[in-house]
Amino acid sequence: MTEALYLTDSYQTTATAQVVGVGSDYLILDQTIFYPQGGGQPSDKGTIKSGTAELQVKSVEYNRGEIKHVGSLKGTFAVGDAVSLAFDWDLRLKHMQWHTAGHLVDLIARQVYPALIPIRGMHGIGKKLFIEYEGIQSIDTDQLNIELTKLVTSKPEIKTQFVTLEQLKQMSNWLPAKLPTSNKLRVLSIENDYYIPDGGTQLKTDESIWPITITQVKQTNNSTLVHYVVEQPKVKHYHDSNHRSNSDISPTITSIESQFATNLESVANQAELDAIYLKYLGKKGSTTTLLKILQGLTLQDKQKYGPLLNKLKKSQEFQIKKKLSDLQSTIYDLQSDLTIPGIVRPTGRLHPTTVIIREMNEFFRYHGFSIAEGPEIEDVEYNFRRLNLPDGHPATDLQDSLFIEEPNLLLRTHTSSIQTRVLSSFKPPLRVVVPGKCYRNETANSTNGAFFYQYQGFVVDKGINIQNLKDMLTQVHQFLFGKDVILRFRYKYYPEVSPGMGVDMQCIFCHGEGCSVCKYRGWIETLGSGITHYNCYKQCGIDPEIYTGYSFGLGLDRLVMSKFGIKDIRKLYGGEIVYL
Amino acid sequence: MKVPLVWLKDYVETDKSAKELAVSFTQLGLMLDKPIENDVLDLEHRLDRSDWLSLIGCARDLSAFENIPLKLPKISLTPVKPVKPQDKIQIDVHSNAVHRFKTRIIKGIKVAPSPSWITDRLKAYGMEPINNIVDITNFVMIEYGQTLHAQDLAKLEGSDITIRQAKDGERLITLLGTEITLNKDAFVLTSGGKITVIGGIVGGKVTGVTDTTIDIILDSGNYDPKVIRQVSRKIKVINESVSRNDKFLNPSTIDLAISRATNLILEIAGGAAYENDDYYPLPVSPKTMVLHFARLKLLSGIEVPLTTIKRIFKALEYSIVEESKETLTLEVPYFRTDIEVEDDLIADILRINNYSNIPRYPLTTPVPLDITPAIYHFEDRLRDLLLAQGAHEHITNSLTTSNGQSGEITLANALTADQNALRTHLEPGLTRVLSTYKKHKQIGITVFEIGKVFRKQDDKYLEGRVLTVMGTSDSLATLLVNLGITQYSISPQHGIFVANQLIGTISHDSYTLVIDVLEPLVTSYPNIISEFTHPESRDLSLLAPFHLTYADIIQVINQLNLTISSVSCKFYTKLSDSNNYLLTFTWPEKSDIDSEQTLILTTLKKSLNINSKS
Repeated sequence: MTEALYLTDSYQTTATAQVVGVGSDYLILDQTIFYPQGGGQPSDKGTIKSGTAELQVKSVEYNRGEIKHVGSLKGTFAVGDAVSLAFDWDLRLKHMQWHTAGHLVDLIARQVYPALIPIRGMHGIGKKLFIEYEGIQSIDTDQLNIELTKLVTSKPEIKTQFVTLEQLKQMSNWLPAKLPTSNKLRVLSIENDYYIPDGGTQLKTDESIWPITITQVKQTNNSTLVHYVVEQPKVKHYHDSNHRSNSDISPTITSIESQFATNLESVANQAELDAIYLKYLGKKGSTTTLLKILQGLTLQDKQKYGPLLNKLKKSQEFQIKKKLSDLQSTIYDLQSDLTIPGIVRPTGRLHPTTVIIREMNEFFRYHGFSIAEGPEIEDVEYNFRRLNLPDGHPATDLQDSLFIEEPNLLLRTHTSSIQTRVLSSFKPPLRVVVPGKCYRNETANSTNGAFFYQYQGFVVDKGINIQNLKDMLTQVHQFLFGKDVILRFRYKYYPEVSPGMGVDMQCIFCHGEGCSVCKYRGWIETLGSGITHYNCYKQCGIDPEIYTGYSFGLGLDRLVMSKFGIKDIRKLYGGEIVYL
Repeated sequence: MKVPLVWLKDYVETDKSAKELAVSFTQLGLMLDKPIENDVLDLEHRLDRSDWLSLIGCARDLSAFENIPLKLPKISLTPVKPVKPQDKIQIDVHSNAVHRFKTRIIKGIKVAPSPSWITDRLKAYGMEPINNIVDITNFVMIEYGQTLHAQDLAKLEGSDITIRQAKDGERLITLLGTEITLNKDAFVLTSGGKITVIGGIVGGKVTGVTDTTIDIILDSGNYDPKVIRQVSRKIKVINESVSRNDKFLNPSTIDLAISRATNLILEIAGGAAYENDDYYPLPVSPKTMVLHFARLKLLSGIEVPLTTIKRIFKALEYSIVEESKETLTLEVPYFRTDIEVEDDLIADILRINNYSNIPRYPLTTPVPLDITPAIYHFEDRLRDLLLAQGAHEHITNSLTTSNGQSGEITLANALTADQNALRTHLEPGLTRVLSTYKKHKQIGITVFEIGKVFRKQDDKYLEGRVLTVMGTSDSLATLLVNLGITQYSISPQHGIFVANQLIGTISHDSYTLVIDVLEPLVTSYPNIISEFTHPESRDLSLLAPFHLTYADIIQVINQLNLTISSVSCKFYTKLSDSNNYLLTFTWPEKSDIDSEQTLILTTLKKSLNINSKS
């Protein structure tokens, strides 16, 4: 014997029960909320779960007091297992709407045509909705529909109760022929003038009844079918286990409110604003959905949340309108008031390093230089040896290398490796600049990274001297820092040049007095240069007795950072900068 | 190199302030490294000039630059008595890293605190005084740049000093009390088989000079700088000895240094000095070099008076061996191990003559041929075309965290695990960029990078240039059209093809193009239509089963012998039972459109079960 919980509460959507019988494709429980097919109403669908097993309930059958939940079993259930039950509420609600609608149709039909004797009702089994009456009857559907609408909109009182057969006989002037003789008969009553024994699940009085229309009346051999349809409102009905009790939707309201504010803030044009409107106030918008959910809540909840939600909706509508007018006023006012600064439109931008490289390239192209490139994975020959850095030379310490394969294959430590490649493969005269990535085995900090850019330049020709170098470097500094730049040229050792030359720019912050920017030197070292080393030419196959020339190289990143006001090289190449 | 003004003034007489001297040193090539404190100049050393790690070396250049005399310490070079045979300590060297090892024995000394003129100078330099013997070896090291070391004779295990390669795992406790584990690259001093010193790097506690020491053996050596550098880095001992011994020093420096130290010890600690072994198998001979005045003129563009040239060389202690109209033949001073080529002599002249005195003069040679590779311009063109579509260029680090996948190139000596491999794709870097934009509340951003990606294939290390666009992938068609590519296709595997050549790949929010492959396929200028033609277009609405893609449809169409000039997809939508593609076919003038259209439709129906909606 299974206790049918749906008889006492058709709105109970979850329950626990104990397994009393297990079949290959069914379970029998001590109690259930699943409605078994019967009385014209289709059965429920849902799931029954134990800790380890699950039954997807496809149909529910009533058989001599036992309710069989049929479906596909996953895992093993055993008698005595505690299980939890949950069914598809949307489907159940539809069945309830269909079923209660059938009784409302019957009530109206028999009110208008008191002679009608019902045989049966179909409330959805095989998708059929009709009430069958004895004999061939002529029925006016229009009249019934008018009455039906009146009844539905009057929010009729719908009740179920348990009575004895005797009590039932007093209540109703018509009863079906075969009735159980049990002491407890369940009776559906509508507006205290329609009583009918019923085992189905029925809507409660305060549930919104979906619109019902009697569509046609069909005569068969010996009976008359009154067909009706129930139109489900295009609302996703909300229901959960809290449905009958009071629900708390205030967190949802708060979260929608704050999301909306964030979203609205970032809106830059009307298209984006339209999207926000749809997101919140459109048919499927969050606020709209919440309002629909409200309809399914208890009266108490409706009173509690209704004003809040209406306020939210009004506020959102207002804010969107205001934003729209803001957006439009920017556009229109700009046209009429020319003193208002314009709007920044998004455009593509170059990376700061590319910007500076292009600037430098433009300067050097003007002075007849070519641009060269080369491999980033380099061998020691081009990176060190041909730069007058023999194996074991202490100056290799100046550059801690990142090796791919020690000792010969490394990531180029400077753009000078490209210089040796160009010198080895092209014939002078040459004027070349090389912007490029370099790598060193250095722990990254705000000014040095293992990955950085250098800008190298060199000239090879007959009769090139240090005066030409000084001139070119003066010009490039003036190009980069302005005509008034004050420079200092001094001897500095670099292995790949001799004589070597360091260049400092007077600190523009302290004018040579010494400050934290220039590390109290008064000068800022900008680049290294010199007359390209005799041995370097020899190793690259150029006759140093015929050709002379100069080389210079500078770290590009510090220049880029100072021009763009970036304080940390790691951000420059770490994907941590954005363009306004 | 720290130069305390008080000590410097022992060698040069100057009234200049520390700040003024710093300016002179900077011009000379010794740039001030840190702010001047307490009249101590901290000068940046550039690794070439080992004599610049000596105060006398710095003073010599300063005297030449300022044209003031250099005052060298007076050293008695009179030979000391040879050691008595019974007192002799046998020097045996079994290591290629030792070029010279000179020793002296000094007996009957009195170990005590040094006089203040020594301790004041050492303290100014930044060294803590220990006792007169140790202080003198340090003092002379700073003065001459040559390391010296004294051991307590009584504490030597045997009557020998044997220098040999260390064995892996051998240990020594240093003078400072640190225990160091050695490997076979290091060489050690031993006596009676017991290790006493890590050669050229640090002495051991066991034979160290203490208050009770009476007899010492003083040594001064010249070693392979590469070995010193490697070993010291490995055992993590970087000290004043290492920073000198890892440079090219001339073994002749030892003679002056050991004599100066002997003089000072006898003067301050007393005792008697004896000559012990001097291991010096291959004595170096002085280098001569020729300066051609023409070359000086060629490199500098200026005429330097001969008197100035001679004054400079004399001040720098070069000796003029021969003089002609065109040349000077010079003997290079022993301490100038940096002088390699004639141009280095020219550097000395220009340096002492002050670089500020060199005028500037523009290039007058003709502009050479342009050798800029076409790909460089092409990459700039790609940047501009993407910028025009509103995409932002970014550059991200090529060093990345290894993902352990095959084909990835990892670094042999990375410092950090987050940068221990080379990137194989640009996407991860750009993903980080996009998330930064998101953080800054900038949405709907497209970013791109042009850069190299790296891959190992068999034994080859490959680097390839790619362009990756991320954020959206809808700029591809526009980019290609602007490059003159109107027809391209995307394979079902999402490869991008132009003229049957794979040029890249596409995903929903990014695409990558291989620049080297793309470059030859583009036209120099985008297509421009200047004459009106009469092409005819037809739109065909096709209902294709869900499993088919546009690529499948195009593949079938391409197999047909059609005269169409182009086909494109105008519109695509998912219906309940099929995908609806609206294709626009364009034919040149006077084509048999009807029969080709029929052919297209019947073929699509037959081979792909595609129905036409129209």
